[in-house]
Amino acid sequence: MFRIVLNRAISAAILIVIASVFSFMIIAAFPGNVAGLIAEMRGGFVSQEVVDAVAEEFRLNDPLALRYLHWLGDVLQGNLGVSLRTGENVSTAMAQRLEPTIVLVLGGSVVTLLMGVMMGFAGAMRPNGSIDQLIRVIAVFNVSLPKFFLAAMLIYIFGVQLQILPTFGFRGPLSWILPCIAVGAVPGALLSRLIRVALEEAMSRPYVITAKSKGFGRRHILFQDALPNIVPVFLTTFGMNIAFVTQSSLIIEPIFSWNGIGAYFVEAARFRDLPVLQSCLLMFSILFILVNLAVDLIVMLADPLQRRARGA
Amino acid sequence: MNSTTMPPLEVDDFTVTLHTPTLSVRPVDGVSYSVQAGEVLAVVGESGSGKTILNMAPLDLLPVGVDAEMKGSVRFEGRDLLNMSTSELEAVRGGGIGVVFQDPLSALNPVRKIGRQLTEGIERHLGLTPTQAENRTAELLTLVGLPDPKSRMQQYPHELSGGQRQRVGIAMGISGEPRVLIADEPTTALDVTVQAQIVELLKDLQKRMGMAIVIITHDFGVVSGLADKVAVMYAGRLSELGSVRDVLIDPAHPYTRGLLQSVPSLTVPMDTKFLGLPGQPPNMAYRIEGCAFAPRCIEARADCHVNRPSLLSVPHSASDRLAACPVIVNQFA
Repeated sequence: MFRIVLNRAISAAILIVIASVFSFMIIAAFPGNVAGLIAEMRGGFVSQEVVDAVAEEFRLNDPLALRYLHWLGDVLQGNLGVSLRTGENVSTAMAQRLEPTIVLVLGGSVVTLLMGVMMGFAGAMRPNGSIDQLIRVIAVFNVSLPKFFLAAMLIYIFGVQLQILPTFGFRGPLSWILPCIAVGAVPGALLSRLIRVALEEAMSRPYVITAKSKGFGRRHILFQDALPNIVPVFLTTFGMNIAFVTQSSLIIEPIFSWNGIGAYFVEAARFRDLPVLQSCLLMFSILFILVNLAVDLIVMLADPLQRRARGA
Repeated sequence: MNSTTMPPLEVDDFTVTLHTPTLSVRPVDGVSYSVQAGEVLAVVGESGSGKTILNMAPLDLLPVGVDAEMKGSVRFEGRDLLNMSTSELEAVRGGGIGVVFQDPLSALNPVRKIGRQLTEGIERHLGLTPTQAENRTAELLTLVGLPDPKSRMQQYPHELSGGQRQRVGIAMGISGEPRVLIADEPTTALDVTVQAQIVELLKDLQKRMGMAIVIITHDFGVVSGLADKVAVMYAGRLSELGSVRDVLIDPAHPYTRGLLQSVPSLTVPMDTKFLGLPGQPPNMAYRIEGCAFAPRCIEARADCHVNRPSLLSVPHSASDRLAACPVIVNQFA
């Protein structure tokens, strides 16, 4: 058991290193003269000397591998560099913006979970019944809807027409509701379809006939017999949805004027603020990898068949 | 309702038609029999002869997606299972009628502990509290020959051997203290040595609990070891029905004779020619006129291909015996 956990941890570490290479490469791969760009952003008169000085300062003339190691060393010491646009320390700026993003990811995951489980089970209670059909339509509608449009609709309905929920800024739990729904609705719809299909598959297994032979009805069998069997599938998909939700923060945070890491990321991309862009990319990658690692380990622990097959 | 005289299970002209989008088949065709309290009936026949559907369809225990149309009646203690509401049928399943399945590995839920899979049925049908149900489960596991029941209850199905799993399956079948136990080839998926133990166990439980058992099998060893009465099925119809002694020692129906001849024997001389049953069972997708066995039958007359034979009483039998073969019955007379 310990060996498996160790193996997973090592492969996650390797993935993180690869992600760091890609995050770093963004500067190297950036089109045009990076030194000139940085000099321009700093303002003032841009002469060849200034550009050369910038190149020297950012070690742009060093070999790529050496530059990577320098950068990695800085990152490991918690030094993510300085924003080109504002001159802020990137680590400090990110720490300040962490709270809204955490709220959004957790809240969005809760919405995903509630929607997925409720709609998935409601559909599986009576396959192809009217509720199942309705939920299918809602799910397809949701999945095909662009997130920003959904967010705009939520703002229009709850903020403009009904005026019951705040639509602007990160100001207490009430203001969390709409962004979390906007972020969680699409993965929730996807998750509901998956749960519905996985439950139907589980309900066609012989152990369901056994449960029936003991005199139990569909509801009991769904929850007691089918549910434990879909836990691995469910957890894996839910883990992927957390990644999906995190990624949505890029779109949803700016719409609701939340000053989170997603908004920071978008802003950095818009102003070509390379150190910020690099850092955000790295953080998101690490988050994805760690969430996936956690989900894999939880699935392994939750499934008695796997536990034994791997010699717990 | 007088259960001392009324047979717990009475099947009367029972017909099942399975519908698929492209064709309809009739795996059970006009079957009638009854099982008395404390009696063991073996239903024998080849694979595909309809013996499992005959017993599972009335309980609505066919695999998901099978669309079965049922006619006739299957009465449990006088009440027709085919006319029961879903909730009435749920009360009968696991309570009045217990079921043991063929493959104990797939029949048990792989991710639930054995204890819980047993206690839930006991709580449901015997109205016990969770603690009482756990104690009852431990008793049951001991009864079916599994030592150290408390630790067994904490295990998952894959942690047991095939024989142990089937003992759990049997414990599950009898957990609601049923009056009728339906066992669908309970020994087929097991090793030969284990098969004998399971037959012994079923015999022992039947004596202790006094329940009627319907055992579905194609193994004549199981029939002779366990059953009082035997019903031979061919192509969805009953070809012979009688006491085990009559049917096994002196089979009347040509199909039963052929079936018994096709059981390899160790007691005949080495160079004896092995007699199988020539031909194949009919395609059930077509309506069968006349006797279903006629195309393979050495006794067949022209009439056999036209008129469907009904079950006739066979004269000179030790007990009541019926065979669906007028040719043979006339020879006996």
